[in-house]
Amino acid sequence: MRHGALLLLFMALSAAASAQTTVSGRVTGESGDPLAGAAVVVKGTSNGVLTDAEGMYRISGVRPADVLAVSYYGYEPFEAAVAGRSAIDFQLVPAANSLDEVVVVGYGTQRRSDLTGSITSVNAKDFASTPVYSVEQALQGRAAGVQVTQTSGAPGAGLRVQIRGVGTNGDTEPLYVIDGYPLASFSGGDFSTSPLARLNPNDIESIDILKDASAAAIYGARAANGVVIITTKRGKAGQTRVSYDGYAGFQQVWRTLDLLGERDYVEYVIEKYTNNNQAGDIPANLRDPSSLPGNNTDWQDELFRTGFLNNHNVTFSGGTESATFSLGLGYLANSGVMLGTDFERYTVSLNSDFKVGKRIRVGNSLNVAYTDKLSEANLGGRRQLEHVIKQPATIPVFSDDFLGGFGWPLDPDGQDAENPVAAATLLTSRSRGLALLGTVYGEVDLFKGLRYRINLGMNMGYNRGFSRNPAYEGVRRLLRFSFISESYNTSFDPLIEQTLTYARDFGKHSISLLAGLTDQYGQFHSLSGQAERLPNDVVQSIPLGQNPAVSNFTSDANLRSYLGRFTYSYDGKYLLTVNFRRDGSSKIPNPENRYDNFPSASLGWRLDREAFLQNVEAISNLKLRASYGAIGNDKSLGAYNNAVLNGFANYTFGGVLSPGTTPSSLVNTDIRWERSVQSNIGLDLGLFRDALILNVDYYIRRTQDWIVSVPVPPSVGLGPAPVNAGEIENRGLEVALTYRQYKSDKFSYNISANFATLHNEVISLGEGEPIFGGNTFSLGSLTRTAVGGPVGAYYGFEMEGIFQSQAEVDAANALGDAGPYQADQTAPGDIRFRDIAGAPDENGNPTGPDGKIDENDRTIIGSPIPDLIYGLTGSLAFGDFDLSLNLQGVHGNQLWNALRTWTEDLSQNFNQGAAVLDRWTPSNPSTTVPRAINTDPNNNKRNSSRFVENGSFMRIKNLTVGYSLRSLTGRIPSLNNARVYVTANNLLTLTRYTGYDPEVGGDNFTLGRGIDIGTYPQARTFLLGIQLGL
Amino acid sequence: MRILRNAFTALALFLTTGLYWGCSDDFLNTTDVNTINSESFYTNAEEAIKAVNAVYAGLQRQGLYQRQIFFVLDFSSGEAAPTPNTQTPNTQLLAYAFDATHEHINAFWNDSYVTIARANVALEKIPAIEGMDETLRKRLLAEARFLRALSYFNLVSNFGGVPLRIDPSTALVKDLARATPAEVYAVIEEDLRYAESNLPKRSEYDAPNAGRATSGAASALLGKVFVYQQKWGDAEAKLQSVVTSGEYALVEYGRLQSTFNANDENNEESLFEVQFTKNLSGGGGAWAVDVNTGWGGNAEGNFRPKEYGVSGFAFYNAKPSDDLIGSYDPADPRLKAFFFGPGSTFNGQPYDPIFTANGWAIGKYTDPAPGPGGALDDGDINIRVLRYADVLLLLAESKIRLNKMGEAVALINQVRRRADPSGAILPDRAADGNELQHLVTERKLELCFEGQRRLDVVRWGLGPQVFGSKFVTGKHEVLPIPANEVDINKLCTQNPGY
Repeated sequence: MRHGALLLLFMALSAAASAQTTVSGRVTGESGDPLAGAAVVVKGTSNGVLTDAEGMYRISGVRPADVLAVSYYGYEPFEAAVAGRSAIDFQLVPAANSLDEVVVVGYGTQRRSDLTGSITSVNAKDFASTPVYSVEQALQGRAAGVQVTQTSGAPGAGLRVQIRGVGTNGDTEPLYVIDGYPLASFSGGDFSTSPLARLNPNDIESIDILKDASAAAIYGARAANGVVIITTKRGKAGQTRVSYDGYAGFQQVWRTLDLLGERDYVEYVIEKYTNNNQAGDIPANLRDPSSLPGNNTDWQDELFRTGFLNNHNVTFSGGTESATFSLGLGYLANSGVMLGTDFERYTVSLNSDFKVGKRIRVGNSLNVAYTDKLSEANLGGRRQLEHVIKQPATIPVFSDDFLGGFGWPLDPDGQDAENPVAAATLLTSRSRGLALLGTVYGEVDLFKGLRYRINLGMNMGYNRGFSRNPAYEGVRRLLRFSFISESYNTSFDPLIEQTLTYARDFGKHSISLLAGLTDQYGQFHSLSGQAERLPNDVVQSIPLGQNPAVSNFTSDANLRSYLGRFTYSYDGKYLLTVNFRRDGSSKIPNPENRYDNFPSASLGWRLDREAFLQNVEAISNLKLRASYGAIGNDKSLGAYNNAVLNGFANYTFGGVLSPGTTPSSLVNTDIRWERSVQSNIGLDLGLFRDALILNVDYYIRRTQDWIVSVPVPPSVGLGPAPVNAGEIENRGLEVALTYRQYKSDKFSYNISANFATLHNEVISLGEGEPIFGGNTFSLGSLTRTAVGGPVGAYYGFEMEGIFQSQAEVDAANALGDAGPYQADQTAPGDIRFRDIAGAPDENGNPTGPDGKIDENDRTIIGSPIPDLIYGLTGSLAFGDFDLSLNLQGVHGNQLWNALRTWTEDLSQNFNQGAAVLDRWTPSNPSTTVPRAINTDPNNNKRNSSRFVENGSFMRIKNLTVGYSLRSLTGRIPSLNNARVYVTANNLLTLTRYTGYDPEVGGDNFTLGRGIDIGTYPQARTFLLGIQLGL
Repeated sequence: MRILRNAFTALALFLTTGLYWGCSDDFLNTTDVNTINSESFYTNAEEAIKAVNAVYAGLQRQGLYQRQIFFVLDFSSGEAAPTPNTQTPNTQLLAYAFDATHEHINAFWNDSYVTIARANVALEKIPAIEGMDETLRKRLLAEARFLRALSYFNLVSNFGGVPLRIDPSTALVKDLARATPAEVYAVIEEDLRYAESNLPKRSEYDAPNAGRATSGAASALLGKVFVYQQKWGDAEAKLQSVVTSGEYALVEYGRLQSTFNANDENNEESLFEVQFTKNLSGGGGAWAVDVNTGWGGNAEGNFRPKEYGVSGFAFYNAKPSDDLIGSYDPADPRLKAFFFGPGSTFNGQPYDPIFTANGWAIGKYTDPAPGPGGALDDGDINIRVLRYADVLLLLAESKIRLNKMGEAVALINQVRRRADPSGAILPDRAADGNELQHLVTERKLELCFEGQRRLDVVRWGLGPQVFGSKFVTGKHEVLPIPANEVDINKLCTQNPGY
């Protein structure tokens, strides 16, 4: 019977298909002018034609039940059922153009045409066709002046977002506002790397980036790094729609380093000992290159693997005129390309809106995320990649000689690199977090134009982190005993916010007013415990271990704010916006400094509405903007800034702990937040009905009251106090150009390109001395922030070349006073560093070269801040196929490739990179790689320009090819949309950087940007995805 | 009318909530409950004790007796030799190739001044505490002054003249010129004189206070300070007073090894020790498992046993040099007490000489029975800063300089007879004209790996003879002033040659 029904259905379809006719007609615009080149398509098929110069079309193969769809760029698409007709004319109405787009500004919305500030918007449709698994990814390369850096390829790792340069040496992340809730610094959960890790990008409707002071000042003391407003999807009245969006794929590291194999390693070891007259000290098992241990371990191969990624999202949305909803469910799993790492995320979002009568609206937003992350093992405080690089190929991965079953160096090997596979296998460091962000609003229209709104928000986080290390024998067979630690933290950050808005047009005058009051709490608590030497590897009880310890931490940081906005426009031509916020923060210790005002004002002039331009058809929009305002940054302040004592300066008398208390640093109780003033001028141009849009902005952002620690001499014996003393300037030009050509249903494309220049300069350090930063585990500080240079400039010696002969060494030693140029034992093959200066004279003034290399010869050897960042996105639809490309790059920055201090160490028994095969020897007078010499008497390895590399790169972040299954959607009436696609992420990277990846965030992001100490490498990812819409 | 009513409602709503807020700015008065607020401290005896305990804790910092000071003093002394594990900063010390950025030298300087700053805070705050027992107040002030004197002595003997921060007028000044060595020594002497007259004797402290500075320690340090200034008469008198006090004695040979481990701490041979105790680090446990992380500046354990300990049980970053081992008579019983070597017992079993290249490992401060992984634990062994054998030899040296040769060799022989009571192996030294050479040798043998050798060699003017051509006369008598100090403190000059 069922087969019969199917057969009948098939026959009916065939019959319909056989009854094909031809339909013809004319397509005109609103005034009845013919539209040439409009696309007329039989909906759900690839059957379509273009209209001719008279707007006429003729399309054959049309069945009576078909629907014709007409589209023309700049007009609303239109559909009509054929219903047996053979002639159908279409009159199209102009589409709402981009100027009518609604932009979310703080505490409200504005039409783009009325904007006077600098705001870049990214809408869901911009990234809907490509898979993104984090919100920041959706921003990458899409907004001028917004630098998004994937700082780690680790599963679940956050990205760094930096808007308009660096204005602080604290956190440079912008303020994120999710559905009206500003995420405070303490966000709880396992979201330390990114406050956005909780959000499923599939739930997002739009992202609006407030870049200048005019736009951001409404967020006052938290806005100086820029503001990113994220709005999640809400339901629309109508049929309930269901969509599925999912993808799966695999990822691999896109680059590995060329490291030495066993034989080359052994030859290197022999040579470096011999060069230092220490042949007798060569490890016994490494003395004969012809008799090798035979392990030849490829540690990269052992640690890296193919990672798998899969993501599934289901969204339900719909509702009635009085009640709408949107419900999203999401799941993401990523196993990571490095052994011993993984990440899972479960998300639920639920947004609803209700109308109560004509005047009242209530609703809510809710985002819940559960994440589970296994992090890279950190044995010996070092990254896995450091072990991978340092561990020689002579060491086996596994060995039964050691408790735990892994191979390690022994004493005679003269090196102590860890076994990264053992670290990944034996050590567990996992965190599981639940985060909840919810807001409930109520809105009442009091009388014409006046609206009251209350918004109650809550951000809650709960996280459990634990690590477990079993007992095992490691380097030199030293026993590492078992260790466990476990920590819990919770955050609870309520928000109460009330606003009144009034908007009214009086003839050609339009005004709007906003006034608001908000209180936001930030409450964070943590408790952690640890113990060692557990009875066995099963027991995880802290009291059963030895040396148990417990610690806790509580912080309360509250913010009270008064805010207001006034906008005025005359005839849509002359626009004025004034924002104001007064913030009071509990972080500020002195009550007299606790409140500060953040005003801004901006002006706009719509030239296209002036008489002299109104008749210029080509110009659809031309606006000039200018703004000025003050904004603050409270992220450089911890929750508490009062004078406190170190209560842990304990001692033991008679074997009993005796508490000690003492100050540990100087204190400044007058500390305030950092304050920036920013000016911005901009131009928006739309041509040809906004087919071509150009946005240009130039800004100067000056951070005053920059918090710097004025260094104190070590002989003071106390750490420095932070002082509001410095000044930093960022300035730059931002250009964004979009071209949208909508030729037909069969062929359309659009391209957006943007670039931004950036000049970052320290204007003043006040009383302060240059700030050394970027401290890494074994290299000391690598950056120095000083007046006239950028924040976090690389600092060290300049490599001048390599001494090729003893005569050259002698000539250098003859320079200057008694004593060697560099070191007593400098010899041919050692690096010659540049003599820049001698000791300052009595007045502290710099002096010229003195024929000696010492700390006075250190200088600026690079900047981590790019001169130019750029992005390009393009999409192309051709028939049922679509293609999109996202390209991103930075130019003019340097990276500190600390990996090369290991791969080209040339003095220790660690493994080396293939570059050392070209090391200096008398018969190979290399000019770039020094000699191998045990103990490095010339300190060739010192921090120098040798390790600073060009950090420019251009990368195809994303390339997607999709195919719309129109035959399927044509046959299943309830299926609106079906598409399959394949995507490649990080397909191609053009760079001269020689480390694993040029997208280096640096562990220490404040003053250590771009220092690569072996960050989890980026992966090249291939994904296959399906999108279905019902 | 209706519009007005609505407007009124709106304003009322807004203003009431606004007023509510306006009245409660307490919302912005949060309290840090995580630590101690400085404004409410230094008010009673208990807090005075805590302030002084913190000064002692300064000595436990990594730059000082927890770790780095012994690297600086041992690797530059000819006593330590490298192993395959010896790291670059230490090989630089071995080669006298250190400069003003040397991490161990810098940490030694920095943490000495942290200790001094803590002492200065205690000396400023304690006199102002009301209602405190005066004897206790004086004792605490004397303890702080002793610790400050010790820190300045370490600085002046290693760096030459240094900035003198001794009172509120100098404590926080950014630019402060270096005082002359004589000025520094004058402050040290004044502090120690106060300390010796206000501190209890060793025998007067009860067990829970064992380890606090004593008048004997202050006198002995003062004697040593006189020796370093070649004030031989003052030195003799002061050191003699320690000997005649009856508070101290050499332990018998059977306890000579244990006098450097955790079982025999604060004993009669010891005048001052920096106290270290394992399993009290309170959260510093992590570094006991994995020493590379969480190096807590306030940890109660030290690094010495694991840094130098026997290969296979500790990091084995140093071994005794061939020169040092070769200086002993092969039968000298001190070889067994101060080192592990052929015939020693280690971890309950015969010591295996193949552990080290020359067959010997450093024994002082090495746990002789660490058990599996035990040497990686918190170091439990106090560092002996002032030992009675040192006092006797300093006294002997003073007497030699004062030409009291018979008394001098008797003191040297007292030290030798403790190791070899019969004198069969170590025959008595005679007043044979080589008294100074005997003293030089005896200090080398008796006080090895106690941070004495380099300073002794330098003050005897024997640098080039002992250390060879790597020792540059006019430069290497002192260490470089850390670059950070010279960079920031505009009045601080660098030592010659650096």
